[in-house]
Amino acid sequence: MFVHKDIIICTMFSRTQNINLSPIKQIELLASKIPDVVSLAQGIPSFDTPEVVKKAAIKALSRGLVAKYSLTYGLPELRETIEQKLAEEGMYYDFEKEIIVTAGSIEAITAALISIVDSRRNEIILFSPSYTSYAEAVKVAAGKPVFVNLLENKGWQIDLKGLKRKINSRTAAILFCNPNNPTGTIFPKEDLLKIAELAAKRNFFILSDEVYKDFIYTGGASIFSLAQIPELRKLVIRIFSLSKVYAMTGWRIGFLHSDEENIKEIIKVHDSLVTCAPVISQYAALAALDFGDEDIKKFREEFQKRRDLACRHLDELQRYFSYQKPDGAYFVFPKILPAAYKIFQAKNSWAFALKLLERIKVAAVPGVAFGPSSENHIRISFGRSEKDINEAMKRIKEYFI
Amino acid sequence: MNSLFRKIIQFLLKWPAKFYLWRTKSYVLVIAGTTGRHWMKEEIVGVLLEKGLNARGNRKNFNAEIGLPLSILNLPSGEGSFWGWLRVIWLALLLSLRLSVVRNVPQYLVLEMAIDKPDNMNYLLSIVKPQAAVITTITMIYQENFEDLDEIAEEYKKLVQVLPTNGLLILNNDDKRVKGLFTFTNAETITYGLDDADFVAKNVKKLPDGQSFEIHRAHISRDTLFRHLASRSKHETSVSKIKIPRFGEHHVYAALVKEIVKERVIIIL
Repeated sequence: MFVHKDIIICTMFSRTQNINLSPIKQIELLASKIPDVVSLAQGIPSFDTPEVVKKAAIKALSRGLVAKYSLTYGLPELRETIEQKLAEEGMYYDFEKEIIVTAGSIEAITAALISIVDSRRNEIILFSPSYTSYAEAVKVAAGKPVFVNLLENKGWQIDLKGLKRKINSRTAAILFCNPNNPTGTIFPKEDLLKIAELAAKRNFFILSDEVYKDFIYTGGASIFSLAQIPELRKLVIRIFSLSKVYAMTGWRIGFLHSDEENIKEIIKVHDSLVTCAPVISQYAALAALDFGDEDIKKFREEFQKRRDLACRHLDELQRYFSYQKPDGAYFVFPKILPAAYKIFQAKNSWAFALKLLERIKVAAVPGVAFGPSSENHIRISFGRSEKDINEAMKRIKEYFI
Repeated sequence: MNSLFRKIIQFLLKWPAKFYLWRTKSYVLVIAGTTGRHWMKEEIVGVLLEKGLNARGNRKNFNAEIGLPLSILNLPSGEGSFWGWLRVIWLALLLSLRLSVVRNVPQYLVLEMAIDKPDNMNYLLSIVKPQAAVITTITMIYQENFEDLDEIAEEYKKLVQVLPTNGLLILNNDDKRVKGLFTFTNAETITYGLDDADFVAKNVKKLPDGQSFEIHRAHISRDTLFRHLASRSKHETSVSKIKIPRFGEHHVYAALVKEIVKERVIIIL
C-alpha cells in the first residue's frame, strides 16, 4: 500500500523533484535556527526602503488605491515612468506594449523562460558562476540549463569560444546577470556584442538581468546594455528589479521590457502566474523611480566602502582565501585555499560553508550553488552592514589565524 | 508631509511663482490631459531649443499643486526634509524678488499640468494663465477621484476658457471629449490625430529602429472670422515624411504636436 502511494507521489512530482530549493535559502534556513549568527549569505541590502517610497505606499494605501488588481501590464503611470527612465539610459520602449511590471526579477525571468522554452528548443545557456536561482527557473520552465564557465584567471570574463561550442539547434536563450552575481564582474561591450552576433546568427534570445547595474565601482561609467541597440530589440529581453537598487527586496517589484512581439507572449504567462505585480508595490516603485536617485547614490557610496572593507579583511586572510576585487554588485567570491579547507577538515564548499556556520556562526553561500565550475569558492555579501562584515571577518580571523 | 505643512508649502510657493511669471513675461504653454504629457513636453522644449529659443519644461514630473510652482521657479523639491523645504522657500522668494540673480530667464515655459481631483484645475490656474495649451486625452487612468469622464472634461474646460483670444489651443482630435473643447474658447484651435484633423499622421509603420509616418497638414485660413470652428474650410494639404527613433502611438502624437508648435507657436511670437 505504501509503495503504491510513493509511486503515485513520485509520478505526480516528477518535474519538481528535479528542482532544488536555492542553497542561499537553505543556508539562511539553517542560520535562522542558530542564535547569534552573522549572515553574509543572502543578497539583501542592509538599508531600509527610502522614506519617500514608504510614504508613497502609505498614501496609496490610505487613498484606497491598492485593494484592486492593476492592469496585467502594470499601472500605466508606472510604465510611463519606466519608459522615461529607460530613455534616459538610451533604451526606447513603448510603455503601452513593451513593458511589463513584474513581481520582482525572478518572476520576470521565469515568465520569459516559460514563454521561450518549447520541446524543440529547451536549452538555456547560463554562466558558471551565475545566480543560483537561474538554473532552477530554467527547470521550472521545463528547460535544460547548459553551463558555460567564466574564466577565473581572466577576472571571471566570458569564454566566448566555450560559449560557441555550447550553442546548438536546441539553444533557446542565454541568461546572464550584468554585473554578475556572485563575481561582481562587468561584462565588456565587445563581449556582449559578440553574444548578440551569435544570437542573431543562431536565432536565440538574450535575457539580460541588470538588477545590479547601479552598483558599479569603476568611476561613474554606466554599464552597456544590449537593449540599447534598437536592431536587437526582438532578441533581447531585459530584466530589472527595484529590490537591490532601492532596498526593496520585500516589496517584490521589478519589470521587463522587449519588443512588442515578445511581450505579447510573455504577458500571457505573467497573467497566469501573478495576474499583476502587487499594486501597493507598484505605487512604491513609482515614487522610487521618481525620487530615489539620491538614495541610489548614497547606497552605492556605502557599498563601495563596504567592498573595500571586506577586501581589506580578505587581504589579511590571504593564506586561506584568494579573491578578485569585484567591480560591481555587492558580492565578493573568494576561492577557498587548501589551508582553509584543512582547518575545517572540509572537502568541498558545501561542507566548508556548513562548518563556517556551525563553528563560528557565520553564514555564507557555498560556491557550488552558482554552477559546476564554482566549487571551492564562497560568496560573501557586502550588502550587509559594516558592523556585520567586521564581526563576521573577526570571527573568521580569530578561528583561522 | 502632513496636510497642514503641505498647505503652508503650497501657499509659500504659489506667490513667488506668480510673481516670477509676472516679471519674466515668459510665454507659457501648458500640456494637460490624462496621458502622454511627458513626451509631448520633451518634444516641444526640444523644438524650441532647436530654433535657438530659450525654453524650459517641468523638472521631473513636477506638475501639480506643489510641483508646478517648483517647475516655474526651476527649483528642486525639499522632499521629506523640513530644512530642505525651508531652503526651497527661501530660494523661491529670492528668485521672484531679485530677478537679476536669475540667469537664463526663459522665453518659453512648457508646463505639464496634472489634476487628480475636482477643482484641482482652479488652483493651478490661479498660479498660471497660459497663452497656449495642448490637451492630450481624457481617460479614467489615474483619475480615481472623478465620477466619470465628463467630470474630468469639466476641469479641462476651465483651462480652455482662460486662453486669451490671441492664444492657441491644440487638441487631440482622436479623443471625443478633447476635440469637443474647442467650443469653449475664442483662441485659435488646431487639431492633431491619426484620422481626421488639421495635422494627421498617416501610414504609421514600425521599423526596427523606430517609426515612420507622413504628416498631412491642412492649410488653415488665418483670417477666417470663426477660425476656431471645426467646420472651417481646410485646403492645400502638404505632406512631410517623418522618422522617429521611438516606439508607440504616443510618440506619433508628440511628433504631430511638435510640428504644430514649430509652425504656429514660433510664428505667433
